[in-house]
Amino acid sequence: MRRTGAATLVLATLLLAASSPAQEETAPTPAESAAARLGVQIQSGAAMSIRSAELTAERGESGAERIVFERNVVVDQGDLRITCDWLEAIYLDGTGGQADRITARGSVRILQAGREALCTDAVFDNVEQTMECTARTGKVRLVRGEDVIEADRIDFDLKTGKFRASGGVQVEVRSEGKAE
Amino acid sequence: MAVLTDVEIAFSEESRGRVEIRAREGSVHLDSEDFWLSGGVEGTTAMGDRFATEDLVYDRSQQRLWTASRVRLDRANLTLEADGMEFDVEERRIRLTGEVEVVMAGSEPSEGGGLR
Repeated sequence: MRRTGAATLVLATLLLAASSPAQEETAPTPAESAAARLGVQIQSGAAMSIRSAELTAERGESGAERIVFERNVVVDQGDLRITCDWLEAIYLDGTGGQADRITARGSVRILQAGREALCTDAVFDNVEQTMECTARTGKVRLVRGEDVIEADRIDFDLKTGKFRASGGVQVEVRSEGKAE
Repeated sequence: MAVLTDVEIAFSEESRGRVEIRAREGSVHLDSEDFWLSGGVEGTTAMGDRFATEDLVYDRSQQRLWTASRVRLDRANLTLEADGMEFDVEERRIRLTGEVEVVMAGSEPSEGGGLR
């Protein structure tokens, strides 16, 4: 059985419910289950590699450094993989340690453990540890198997794996009890 | 043209710091001041980056260092490798080309996560 939601469903509340103690008392809805399956999380402390066809690095007068990767960009950290056409990393202190903000553009795919997010713009805030995905045309798509969530914008909390979909949200998830 | 061995070259500019380069051999065009270095070319930039490659060319008219050989740059916990490099000495801008790979070392697990 399938359940399809539409319009302005905001998943944040569902996600919070899915992770709260109340979850043990009541069976999660299909949307809650899908939300738990579809989140993206960062492996703290894991090394990160970025491959691309081209890189440009420049430092501003303030000492901040901007590194831009272009063409066939592939980012790997733990089991998380991001592919895109263009990626910019900003290092505010210019030391090359931890990027403060990373922006990915153009055919952005975020893959983790069978989950896939598709968008055209993704902004990672390393201070807040969040990722904001938007699509210049069409919708942001979040897919795992038969579960699909589409929205104008999806915000991920990379610490907890929770996310919030907003703007023209459409949800298509399998109901509980159906084998994965 | 002057042929050199055990070469050490430095670019220095008050506002942008010093770039130092060493190599086993090289040649300098005395008129243009362009130079070519080869054999264990290593350098450091004012930002603390270290780079290593097998040959390096300096085009003075364009204020540009470049190589078409595999190059490696190291800094803090970041390693960058590529098939070629251009370094704009004036702008202190580095461009890496062909099979670029950047590895950012991991850190001890801490509260929360984050892209490193």
